[in-house]
Amino acid sequence: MQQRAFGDLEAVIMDRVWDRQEPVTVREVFDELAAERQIAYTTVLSTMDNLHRKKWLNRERSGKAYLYTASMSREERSARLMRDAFESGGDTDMVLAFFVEQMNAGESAQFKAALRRAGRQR
Amino acid sequence: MTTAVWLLVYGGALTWLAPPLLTRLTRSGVTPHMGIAAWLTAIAAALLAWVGAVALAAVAAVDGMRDSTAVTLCLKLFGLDERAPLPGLLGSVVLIVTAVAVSAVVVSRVGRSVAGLRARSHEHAREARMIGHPTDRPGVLVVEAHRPAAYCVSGKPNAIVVTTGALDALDRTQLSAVLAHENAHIAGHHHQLLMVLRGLATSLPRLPLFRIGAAAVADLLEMCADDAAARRFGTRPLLVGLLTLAGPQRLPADGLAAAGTAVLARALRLADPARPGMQWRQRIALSATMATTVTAPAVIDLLCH
Repeated sequence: MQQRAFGDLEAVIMDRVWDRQEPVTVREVFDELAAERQIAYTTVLSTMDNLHRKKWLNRERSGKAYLYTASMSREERSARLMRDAFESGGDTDMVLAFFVEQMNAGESAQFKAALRRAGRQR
Repeated sequence: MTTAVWLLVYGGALTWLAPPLLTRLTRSGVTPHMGIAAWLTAIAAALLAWVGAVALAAVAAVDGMRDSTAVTLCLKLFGLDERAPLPGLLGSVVLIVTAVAVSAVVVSRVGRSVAGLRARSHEHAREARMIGHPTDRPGVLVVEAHRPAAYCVSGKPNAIVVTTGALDALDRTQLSAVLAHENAHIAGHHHQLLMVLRGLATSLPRLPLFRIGAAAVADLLEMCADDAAARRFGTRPLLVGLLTLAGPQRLPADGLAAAGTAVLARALRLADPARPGMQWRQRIALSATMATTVTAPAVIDLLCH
């Protein structure tokens, strides 16, 4: 697995939040990120505020700071993304280019026969 | 001035008669690029025939009013009775205004449909980038899911999503072949073309050329992407990749199985490529079809005068 691109700060922050089980403050996320890259505290603050506005993060006030948690786990998000993808294809939906769609058993058998023929030709 | 009427007739003929012919000519995917070109030529010609007919009729109506020969114009245009001049003039104006209004409604519906498809695709790509794990291949994201699948979606930037199920099922070469297929979609701007065709198809659902054309071009684009992947990684890894990702799953059936015949057609043409003679026959047939589509209006115009 590869490091994320520098511009993808929202994704980087979601990675951090998902990796921790307990709630996290902006300061804690900033400290972690600042150890690895040049970044301003206000950038982290506004990005996490955006993520809260987009309902990726929930927050709760604790003293002077907010405690952030992910509104959904990465697994829940993945399941939802895949459901959207597999159920797409309607006229008003998005355009996805699936490598291949599922076949039924009969088509699959024909397919295997074609594959065997191709194998013999080589 | 009968040209406008003939253009309309021509556009109608293309809309209803071209789909069965083009389906027969392009279904096998012997030369998918030319097949796509033939479909797009027919679609563009039908649209231009409509625009041309409306424009010619409008120009003629304006000329007619200026020269006070509106009566003869309408006679020619709509074959109205000589003794009904006034309704003729009124009628032609009403018809032209209606035609322009219909065109405007269709254009705005297509525009809205394409904008919606684009926005939802970009949103999906953005979510995939946040949820998925990046890989050492640029733009490729791994999302946790049992079901083996791979797809690409346009966005800023585009995203290619591969499930962990697909990673487990494919070896390295097969995965490369699958990703080369998806990269071919992105490099060829296939999404953008499909969005416009889908927008036309949803906005004009009763016109078979647009509905059938959008589906046919989608299938042919898959074949183009297959060819690009097979050129780089060989036919066999791609075929095994197809079989692995399309094989019947132990998951509940979900309506996607209907697409299986298209997969089978892709597999058969990869496993058993057309001979050069067959390819040339196909090229000649498609070139002749396109040439006829483009030159027909000019021939009609010559015959009219």
